[in-house]
Amino acid sequence: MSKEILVVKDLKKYFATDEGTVRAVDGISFTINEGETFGLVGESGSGKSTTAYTLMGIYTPTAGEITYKGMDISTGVKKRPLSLKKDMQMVFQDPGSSLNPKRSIEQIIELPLRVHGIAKDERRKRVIELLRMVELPEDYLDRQPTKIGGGEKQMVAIARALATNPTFITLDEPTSALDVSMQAKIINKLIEFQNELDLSYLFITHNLSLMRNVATRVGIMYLGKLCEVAPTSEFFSKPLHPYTKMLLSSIPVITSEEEDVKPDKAISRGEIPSPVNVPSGCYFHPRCNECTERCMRDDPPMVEVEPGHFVKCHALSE
Amino acid sequence: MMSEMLVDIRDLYVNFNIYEGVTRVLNGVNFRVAKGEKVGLIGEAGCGKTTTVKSIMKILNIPPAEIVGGEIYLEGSDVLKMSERDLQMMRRRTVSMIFQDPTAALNPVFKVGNQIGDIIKYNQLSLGRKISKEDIHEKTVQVLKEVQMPDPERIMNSYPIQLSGGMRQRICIAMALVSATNLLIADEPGTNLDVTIQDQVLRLLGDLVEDHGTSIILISHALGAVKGLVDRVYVMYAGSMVEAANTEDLFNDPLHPYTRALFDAVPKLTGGGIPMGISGRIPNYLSPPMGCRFNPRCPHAKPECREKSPPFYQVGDGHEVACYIYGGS
Repeated sequence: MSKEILVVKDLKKYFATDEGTVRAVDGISFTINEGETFGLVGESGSGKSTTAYTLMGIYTPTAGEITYKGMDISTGVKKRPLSLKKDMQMVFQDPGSSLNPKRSIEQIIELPLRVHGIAKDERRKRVIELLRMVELPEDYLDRQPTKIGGGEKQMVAIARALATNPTFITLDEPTSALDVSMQAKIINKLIEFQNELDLSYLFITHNLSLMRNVATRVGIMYLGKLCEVAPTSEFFSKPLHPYTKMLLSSIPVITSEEEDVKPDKAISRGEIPSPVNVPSGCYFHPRCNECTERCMRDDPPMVEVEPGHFVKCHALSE
Repeated sequence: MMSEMLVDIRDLYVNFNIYEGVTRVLNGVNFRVAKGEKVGLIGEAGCGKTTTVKSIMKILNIPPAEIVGGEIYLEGSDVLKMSERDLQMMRRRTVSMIFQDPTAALNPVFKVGNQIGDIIKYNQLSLGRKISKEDIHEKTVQVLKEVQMPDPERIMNSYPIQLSGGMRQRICIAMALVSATNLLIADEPGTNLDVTIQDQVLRLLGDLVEDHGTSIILISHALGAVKGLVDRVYVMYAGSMVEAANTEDLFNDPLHPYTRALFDAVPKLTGGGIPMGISGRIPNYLSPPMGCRFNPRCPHAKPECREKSPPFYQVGDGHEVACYIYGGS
């Protein structure tokens, strides 16, 4: 059993709005082990990004516990020690808006080093080293983000995240704004860094084919709750939750071998409801192809059906 | 032959005149759609897919865009020589387009019912018919039902912001349907949506063009989405078509080095890791490479590739490739 780096227990994050309380994250529990990639998938509005932001301290959790390397970090980001912020970094979805367009690449990558008190001549050396790691030419130092391509911008964002030598990085849809050929390059680079620098990733994406190739374990979210958590190969070969089956059968694929992997066509229907007024019982029941009366009444518990494979569905909890 | 073709683009060149100079974006595009045919157009971002289809409707921004050469035939008449009035007529009743971002395509300050109603009204006017308010209402309800909207009466009275992304895209499809009789252009219709919703939207689109007998041009970089819907696929790279084939043939046996590299870069559901992707990047259109524009990134580049761009070679039943590798056969 590998060592746990991050333990999340019954995490909740609610937002108060004019229309009522939005339960963006509603009691999720999972662990991330050292050196692994934990994938989080789900449709937009399912709470993936809120989960990530809460772990990173951008939001303060409403309830629940987050333990990082044995330390309780359920407090907001202001109460976290600087050394912890150094250890946990994040790469955002859209490099166009996560990089300051008025700053040069050097200033952007240098900022975390300055915050963590690295001397000036050390900083420049480190920035050049980081640029080399992400395979960008040195003369990019003085360029501005607007002058380089989308994939290169994301490489700069990754270099910035690596600047402080973190051990845990949250990747929030790092390639969903990019073309497939650029995506392949960035994902390969990320895997390389993980092996070289011994990093743990929380990888968020809605691209299940990509998830199949990068994650060690996968968790699937729906309306703020986790429905299924399983090791990647098992998740794709033996999906158990009806929502997982629906998602998997909706993926457009290009080869017939992939077609064979997909579960029998579970016709996708309906849309994710508003998190302000969630359905009763199991949140998924209005869209579920196997819905029973009990599903409308009771919320199913999370059950471990096989070692490491958790499912939240009445049909499987008997 | 002529009458069979709905769209026939021949050797189209489009430049954009910008501050830094002239970008030569479309570099001799040849593209055809037969009546009732479903055609897919794939390629990386920035390779000219949208420019190509926008020129069919002549809705490019001119300037900065400039059509410097080529012909575009739509049902046998040259779009580039049409009068402004004829162009309007064509846009009102022959061709319509669904854009990538439904939020930007809908006007946020009008109710969706009115927006659909306007299209019905002007479509009918262009045919020389007046239509009563009641009929417009009835038609709107009918088309909303057709795109599987629950409770059309309520939806008609909503503003776009009150609808979800998938519903907005369905409104856009409804708007395209009421006027398009011959050709529907869908520019990345599912890209901004979740997979389950994308699946629904594409299925709906497929069923509708089937029912109406409309031709469709589907642009997407989600290759799997294209595969499920169309009969024939064009692959575009840096301003020209590099390969065209029946869907089945293309996905089973891609020939052009670019098509192969593109397919390889897609992560597979069967696992097995991520391949390296294509080295280099799309050329700068201010100074594109001589000859085949893929030659700086191509593993098989030969001296002749750097001199002259290759013509389309026939390599099988309807399978065409613009690459010298297949020139000998």
